[in-house]
Amino acid sequence: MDNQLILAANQSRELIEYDDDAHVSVEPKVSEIVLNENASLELYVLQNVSNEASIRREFKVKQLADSRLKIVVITFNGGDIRNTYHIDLDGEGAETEVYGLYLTDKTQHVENYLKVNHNVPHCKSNEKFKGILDDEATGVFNGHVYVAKDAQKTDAQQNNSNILLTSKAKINSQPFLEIYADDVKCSHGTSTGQLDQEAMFYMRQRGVSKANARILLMYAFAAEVSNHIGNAMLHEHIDDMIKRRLRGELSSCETCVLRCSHPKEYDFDIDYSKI
Amino acid sequence: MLLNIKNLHVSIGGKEILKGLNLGVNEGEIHAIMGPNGTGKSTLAAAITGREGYEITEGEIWYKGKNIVGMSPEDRANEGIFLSFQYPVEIPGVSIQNFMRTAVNSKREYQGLPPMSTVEFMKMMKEKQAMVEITEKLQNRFVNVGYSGGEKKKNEIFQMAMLEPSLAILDETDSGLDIDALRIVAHGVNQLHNAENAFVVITHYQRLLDYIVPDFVHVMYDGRIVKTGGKTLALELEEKGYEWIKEL
Repeated sequence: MDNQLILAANQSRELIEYDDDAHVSVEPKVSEIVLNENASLELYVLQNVSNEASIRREFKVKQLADSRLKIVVITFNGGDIRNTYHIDLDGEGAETEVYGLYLTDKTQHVENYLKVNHNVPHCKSNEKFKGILDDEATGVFNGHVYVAKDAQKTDAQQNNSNILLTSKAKINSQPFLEIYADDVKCSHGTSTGQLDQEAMFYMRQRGVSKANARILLMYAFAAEVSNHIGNAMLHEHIDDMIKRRLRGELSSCETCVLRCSHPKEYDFDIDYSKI
Repeated sequence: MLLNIKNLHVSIGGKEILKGLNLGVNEGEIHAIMGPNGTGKSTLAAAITGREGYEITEGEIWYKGKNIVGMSPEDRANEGIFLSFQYPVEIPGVSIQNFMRTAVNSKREYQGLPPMSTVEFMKMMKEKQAMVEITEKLQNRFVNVGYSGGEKKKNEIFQMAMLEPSLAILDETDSGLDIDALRIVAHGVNQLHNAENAFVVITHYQRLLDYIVPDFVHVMYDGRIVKTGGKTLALELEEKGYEWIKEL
């Protein structure tokens, strides 16, 4: 299942990967990506598998001068998911953006491991990971940005924020900067909390039901990731899926022909004469 | 009577803040509630609107013939109770337009009406914005995010205009307003005021009452209303301060 993707100089591509309707685990998959000078890649990854399924997904990226990478990974559902990103910025002027959103509930577990190496000067990286964890869901965010001794003028931003909807949901968040250059602009942050109760009351005071106020707040939180989807049609589709997921209407078997989650659409005609 | 509060006792975390408050408000009236800090003015607003954490240990709040104690905040809002917040809350990611549309349609649903059409809604937005002199496009502005104090308060009055409440409580709407914003806010309130609705204006200063003229002025101290009078009472307070109230 491993694959290689090499973009030639000045080439630009947009790719969409969708792991869905899997009731069994998806095979571990490694993508080796090389972006040559001034190449540009937008990669959108959607993960929506059953609570029994696991995903092991790894991206190994090498970026040369002035190349641009944007990865957006949206995890809608899955029992046990681990995404690993290893990005080497090897050419000056390279820019990388990695955005992740995970919406988990029940006993689901999602891990995101990220390593960005600023090996040369004048590169830019921005990572934003956001999660909403319900029930007894757990997660890990582990982000490591390395700035080499000569990688002056590095601009590296890293952020992880989470909303825990219950007292049993847990996240282990570790953003980490390792900097050896002295002329850089780097920041990292992490925040974990509950839904903003002040905002909840404010909305309810305007007549919005508690359920709708929750959805509006959660959607607004999630949209800070989905807004980075450049493809307008995909953006709309993902936003719709996020809304349904937050309302509890999106099932991992959305695309499955049995459509167990939509019982109304399925009507078995039983011929009693044959019983 | 639109609002009738009888012997209201409210505690926060076991500490009693309101200690037997009585207040009656009829349709068409404007009531001002004044008093020093920490006497329970905002607690009264919280109790009427159903905020969690404010425990009503005794007493009743009658609104339109129903005792609303125990009713959810959203049901009270949809019954026509509106609170202009002292500190309007910032909600990043939620546009004012989307928020108001959800609110207006929640109320319509509560009343058994179909959702408002987009065209109708946009027309209403424009009209109500003009009332409080908000000229910018609100489609992409997030609720209260990046607003100055004055803009936040104007936005509260705009929301009030959109929702057309029968009982509006203004909790220190005048705090942090310059004279121009104060005039705009007061103008908005005066335009919305009619014979069917009522306003309860919570304020420290008589300044706002030059623009929104009350029928009654109540002075709160230590969890109770200790004095009630006409609009001249506000002037008296302005002149004499609150010290003498403590003797009552």
